[in-house]
Amino acid sequence: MLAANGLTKEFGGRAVLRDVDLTIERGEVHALVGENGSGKSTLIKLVTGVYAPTRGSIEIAGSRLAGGTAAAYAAGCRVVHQDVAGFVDTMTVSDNLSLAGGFPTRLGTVRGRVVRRRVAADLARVGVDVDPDAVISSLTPAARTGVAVAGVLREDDAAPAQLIIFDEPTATLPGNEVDELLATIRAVVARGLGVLYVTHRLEEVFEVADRVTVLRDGVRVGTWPVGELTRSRVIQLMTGDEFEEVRRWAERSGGKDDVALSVRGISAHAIDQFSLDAHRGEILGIAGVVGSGRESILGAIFGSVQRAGGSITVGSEQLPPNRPPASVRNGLAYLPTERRVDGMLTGLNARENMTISNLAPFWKGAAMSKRAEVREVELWFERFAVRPGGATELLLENFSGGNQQKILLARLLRCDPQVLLLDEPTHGVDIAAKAEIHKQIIDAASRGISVIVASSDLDEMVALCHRVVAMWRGKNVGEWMGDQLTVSSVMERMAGA
Amino acid sequence: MNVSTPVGEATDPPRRRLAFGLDRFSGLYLWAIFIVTFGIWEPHLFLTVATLHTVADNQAMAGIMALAVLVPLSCGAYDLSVGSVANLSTVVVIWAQTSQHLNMGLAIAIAIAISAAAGALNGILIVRLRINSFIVTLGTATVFTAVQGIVSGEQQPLPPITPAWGNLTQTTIGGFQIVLLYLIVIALIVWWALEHTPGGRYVYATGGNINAARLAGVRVDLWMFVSFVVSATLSGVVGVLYGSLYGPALSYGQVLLLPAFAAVFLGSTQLKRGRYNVWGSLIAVYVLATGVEGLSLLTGVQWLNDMFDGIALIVAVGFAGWRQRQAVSFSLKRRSG
Repeated sequence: MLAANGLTKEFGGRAVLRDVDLTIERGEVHALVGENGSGKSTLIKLVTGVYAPTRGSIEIAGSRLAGGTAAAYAAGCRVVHQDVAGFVDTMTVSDNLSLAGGFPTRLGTVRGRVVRRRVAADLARVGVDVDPDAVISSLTPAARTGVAVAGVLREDDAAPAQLIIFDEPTATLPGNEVDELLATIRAVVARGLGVLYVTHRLEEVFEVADRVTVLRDGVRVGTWPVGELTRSRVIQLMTGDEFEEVRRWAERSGGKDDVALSVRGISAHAIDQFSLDAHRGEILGIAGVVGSGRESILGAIFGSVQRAGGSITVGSEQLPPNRPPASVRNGLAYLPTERRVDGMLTGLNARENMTISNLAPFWKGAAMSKRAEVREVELWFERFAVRPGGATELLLENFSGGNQQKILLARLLRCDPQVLLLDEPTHGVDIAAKAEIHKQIIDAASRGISVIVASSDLDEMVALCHRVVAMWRGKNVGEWMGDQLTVSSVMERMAGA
Repeated sequence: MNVSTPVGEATDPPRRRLAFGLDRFSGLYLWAIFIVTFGIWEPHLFLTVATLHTVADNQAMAGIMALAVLVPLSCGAYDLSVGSVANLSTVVVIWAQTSQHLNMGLAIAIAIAISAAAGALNGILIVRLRINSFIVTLGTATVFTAVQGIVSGEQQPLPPITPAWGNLTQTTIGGFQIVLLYLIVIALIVWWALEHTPGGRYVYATGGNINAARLAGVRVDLWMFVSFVVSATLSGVVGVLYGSLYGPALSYGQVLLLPAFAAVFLGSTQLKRGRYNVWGSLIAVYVLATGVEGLSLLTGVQWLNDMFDGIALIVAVGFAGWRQRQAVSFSLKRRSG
């Protein structure tokens, strides 16, 4: 179904994928695994025609790809993404599946019964048990993915589907729904199609895949029948050994007795009875695959994600649930993942963005002193090496991602927090800014602040943190510090051992 | 390894290209053009102290109304009930004096307090029940109109005949009606509160991104509530002044509503671009009024008012949006180049 030879992709002279071969047979589920940045998404984008390869060739079902997404579609290549988008949530399954292909009509009136019969057949074909009249928003994520697969497989006589790429389809699914999805995948290959299955969850690889290809740093490490591998061998292949002696940013002196934050048995979206202690002066990492609860744990502690039950204590104060301003007053500070959505105050300049959490120092009885405010913000600009320097009056949205992140981090540190909660602090920032942010995190910890970092970048956390906790299905499933803290040990547990 | 965008650090802040600030001060330039044009055209009618006084005085109510909608807009919310609250306030302040024989000060206090309570109701519905402000105030606007009908018995009340009631607004200072002074005082207070107090900063932060503001520790619910109370209180002031100036009226408020929003939207393209602001809004009120006054002196037709307001709003806001897109594509070109 798929034959890719010698695929190389360079950006600005730098290869992100080097000389990768990949073949997928008819009726095969082929798993593609690798760490973040190993080149998985680049490979998918090459196969689907989003990128043109710098070198190498791709054949789908025997026809060579000319380039472009339309050509890939015509050759029969389809993608099902994680967090299936592209549905109109308020419309029914059958309406959604008919939007692309059009509704059968008689005299301009939609023939409801024909539509329903056709959609029911589409759903049955992939073994998805969903009522065609159900509204999309009422479906579970797994059922939605199933509907998406049914949509992808709809007969398109001009270009029948040959190869379906599942891009981390189970990332946000709870465990019981994963089985449903795997059943759908088996139904797809039973029809003689090829499946490329991209995932972070290794257990699924062993459950559903026939062969597995491992990528690391843009190079294919190898391809094996699943039966010849064990999960620990796969992890070893994914990480290599070079990270075992990674340079430590901070001295490994964490784990002081002084508890700054104590979390006991909290539950929230994707979080199940989670407990944790964070100490003063410690950098604590929280690792976990997508959907493990790692993305929402810091929000749940801070109060921006609804939590139910459990208790959170800062110093001697109990935090009320779901009240961010109360958390701020109690010494917590939170850097959200989505800078644009949850961090930036649009229409406000860098100065106003930085000072918003604590304006008290500038209030001089009758008005705020802009001069005092500018002076302080300029100091932070210098301390964080913000570029362009001194541009305190520039709108925040006009800074580069890395500098926006520095300004938002300064917003938190200005408040002298006791606990700093950082979600993906270096996501989407350039290397120089990343180094600066790391420096500031270490500096904050050395001043006695308790820092908790939740990140999908395991290398970063192993290098930065004194202690790392792994999450799986919403629970704390292990912790490592000192010499025990290695990428492969954490990853093993993260993938659900 | 991040493949997405190999874009380096942004180097310079986008430089201000137009040295004369044609963008930010376009309202003032337009104002000058109006005055010069109409002045040359109709020097005897237009360039008179009477015209100056007419424009300045007539727009004082519109100005305060614009400030009333400005505050919730800065907080990212619409208050469509300002007109109804002003109507209600007019009826209450007159009813308290004529039917209840209360003295003027007390009557005014009651009218403003009822207006503030109306704003508090808006605020509670928006903050506690989490209903969209547009819908809440659309609903309460009609409810307030109904309450006004109950208070007035659906009849235009008779005006109070005390001299103090007339003097409240019909005194002149240097030829200008005192309402202009009220407008200036209120504008100064709102400007101070929005630009020079932490509360104003919180209001703008909430309007900029309510999620981000909440995560930064801003009590967004509180400021949303406060902004609706302020908006309704200012509408109540408009109601009292209008009643004194023009006598009892039942439905002038709705007429003031749209021009108020138009002025604030227009004002957000002036002085502090992209931000609803006090002086920009007032400039917009007076530029439009000057244009309308000049044109009606020239032609003597009535429909010009509506036509001119509507076209000016669309042209000015459209132009600002177009300039913004220009600026964005300009900075993108610079980055990739």
